[in-house]
Amino acid sequence: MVRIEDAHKRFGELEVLRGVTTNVARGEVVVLLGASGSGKTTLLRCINHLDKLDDGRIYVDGELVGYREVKGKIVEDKESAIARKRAQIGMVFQRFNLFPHLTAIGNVIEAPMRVKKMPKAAAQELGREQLEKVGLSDKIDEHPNKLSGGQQQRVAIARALAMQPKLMLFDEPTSALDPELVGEVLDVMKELARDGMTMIVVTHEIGFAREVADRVVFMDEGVIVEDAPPRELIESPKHERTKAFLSRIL
Amino acid sequence: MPRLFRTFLTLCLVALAAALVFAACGDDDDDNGGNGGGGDIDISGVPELDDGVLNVGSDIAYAPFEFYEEGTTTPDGLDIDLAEAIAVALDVDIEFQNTGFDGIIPALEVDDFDVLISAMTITDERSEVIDFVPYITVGTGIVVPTGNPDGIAGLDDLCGKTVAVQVGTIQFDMLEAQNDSCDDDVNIVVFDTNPLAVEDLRTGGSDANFSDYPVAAEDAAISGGDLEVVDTQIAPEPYGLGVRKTSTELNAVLDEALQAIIDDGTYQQILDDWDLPDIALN
Amino acid sequence: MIAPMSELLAIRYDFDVVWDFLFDPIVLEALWETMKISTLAMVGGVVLGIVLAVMRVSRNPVASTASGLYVWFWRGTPVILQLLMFFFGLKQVIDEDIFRDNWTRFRAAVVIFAFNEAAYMAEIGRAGILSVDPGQMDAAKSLGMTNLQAMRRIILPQAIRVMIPPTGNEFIALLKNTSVLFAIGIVELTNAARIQAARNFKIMELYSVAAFWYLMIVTVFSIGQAELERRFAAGERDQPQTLFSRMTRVVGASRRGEGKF
Repeated sequence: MVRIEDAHKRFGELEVLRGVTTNVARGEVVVLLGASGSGKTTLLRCINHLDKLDDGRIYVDGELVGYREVKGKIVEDKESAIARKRAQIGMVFQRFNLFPHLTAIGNVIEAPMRVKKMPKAAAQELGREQLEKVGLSDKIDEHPNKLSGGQQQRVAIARALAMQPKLMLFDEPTSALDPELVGEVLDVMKELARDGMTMIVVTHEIGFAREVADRVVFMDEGVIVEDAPPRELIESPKHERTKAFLSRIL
Repeated sequence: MPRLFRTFLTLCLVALAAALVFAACGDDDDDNGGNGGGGDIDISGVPELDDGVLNVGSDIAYAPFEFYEEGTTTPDGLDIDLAEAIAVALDVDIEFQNTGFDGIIPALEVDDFDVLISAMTITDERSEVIDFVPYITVGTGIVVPTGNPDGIAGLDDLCGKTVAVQVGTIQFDMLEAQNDSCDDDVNIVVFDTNPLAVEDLRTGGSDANFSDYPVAAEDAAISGGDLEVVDTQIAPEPYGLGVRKTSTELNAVLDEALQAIIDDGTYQQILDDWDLPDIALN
Repeated sequence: MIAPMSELLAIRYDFDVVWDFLFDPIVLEALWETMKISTLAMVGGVVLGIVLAVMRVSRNPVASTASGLYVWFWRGTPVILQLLMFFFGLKQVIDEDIFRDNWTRFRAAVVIFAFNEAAYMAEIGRAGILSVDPGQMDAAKSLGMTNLQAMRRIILPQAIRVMIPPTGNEFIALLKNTSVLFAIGIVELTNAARIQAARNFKIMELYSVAAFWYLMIVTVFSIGQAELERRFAAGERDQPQTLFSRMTRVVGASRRGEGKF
């Protein structure tokens, strides 16, 4: 589903991705682990072209996102094409990024209506469904400022899912939440994984990784250091850097 | 705190004292010479001329009566020359102060200057507020685009047309009065200065411009063929030098001086020089 | 009416003139003219300004530069100069009856003031857009929205809330700037008073009337602006209190018999 080949990304002088290569199969749940600055968030953002690669390629379901091949050369794609491909990739952000001027259901149906041109009635149905799935049927007409952090993030997940993406990207979805609210969000994510969604999750929640992930990928200083099933990597890490990192957070 | 307050109070009192001293100085009434033998007209009893200078206010944007010589700040014009001749007759210096026409009477009233000469028609309303010394007789003129496309011959033809005038002039009042006898009202467009009103005519925003006849003729002459003046002078009226009602002595000596330059031929010479021999006071 | 306050000061202020002129048809006509031009120009300026702001922040270099040049010219020259140039000047240059007949004083006033205002609104719009959290654009894009869709549906609605106070300010400034319209022969509020003052010389009295009407308009407008701010604050944590909302709250509470408001 996702094929990353030798990804490089620089921010000014700082090289954040120094040649990342890996694959994610359909239905796989991959957890990206690493210290801040390791490049994991940047990698995620390059998958749906929120950040642009300087070198290397990323294919989602066989297609480049943000680029197209013209006579053997890679050129940046037209905005409408990029938007179309992005619509098939859902993203959930650390700080939720809900639209404050819209209600919960408003947030969820906005993209289906504007991007997929869904008629309002159908969109409302879809919106109610999605919000029910994340357990927020009683909050559909509330504005984000009336919701707790956990509730907001669940709305954000419903919003992303409403576009029926093939792939879901999670950028530290629980890092900004109070501890007692983390569980409700992780539950939603677990159920999503059970339903067979392809997921790439940047997180520090080791418990989640152990329970749900098919693989854990540890990144450090812009490269992948270790890539193994969760039990293996967490309990018997092979590399020094992995061991050092895990000892700090466990 | 009381210390600070006392300092503040002292400063206020000093400032107040200074202001009073300057105010008193402004109304200096003592004789400080001014004029010597030379002039035949006795100006010793005229407080406005104590400093030996005749301060004159004028809207210096009204050729040929008063205007600035091209590219300079030197006033020139019929009114300017007459005022300068009067100053010579009184044996005083002269200084001009440019003032917008519609504010010129209020400016005179608050002592910005002592006499105004600005092609001002003597009217009843104005005479309620200031006194006049009549000095020439002038009528009003209409400027139209060359060829006179609307066939305007007089005031009645302005009904239903758009006419540009300057604010505060009798031309504005005349047009309003004309509306009483119009079926279709005159669309009066008002401007700050007369040159802007002429500009509106030139660029097609108005059908005619209404101003003093000599000014109308001048504007037509310098328009490079775009404008012409309708031949008849409308309602000739005397123009006056304006003085405050309290300036009775000044009024008297101005009258004397005017008579003096009429008698010795300077007056008519100036009028002839400006090609306006017929506007002499009658 | 002369009220001698002492031997030094004699105050003359003719209240009769003020009452007479306050509702004089000439004044009301000029007031209406002022309102029409100000409102139309402001609406035009806001719309054009927002377009310019979106162009300015866009990644398209042509759009961004064009917008920058526009703002540079229209913000960098005085509005009275713009009026003289684009009313008289243009009519002088374009010697066609079709143009001259249709480029009337009123239309020129509205258009030129709108163009001028748009330059200021472009900067306000730009500031407003930049004030929106960048995460909003990230979320919108990640859902598959184009830049323009995101602007229209997500960014601008949030930017507008921030833009309301400075925009209100701009309207008030525009309203007062209309007094320069005399340069192209439009009689608006200030100059209606001026024309009358030239005839009866009651300067203070007549300009008091003009001042009164400006203050009236600005006051009513300010109340409206506060209400607008309150409306756009739906969904935000701090809801601003307006005179109107405070009054309705007090009335409501007293009706319910609650002691403390």
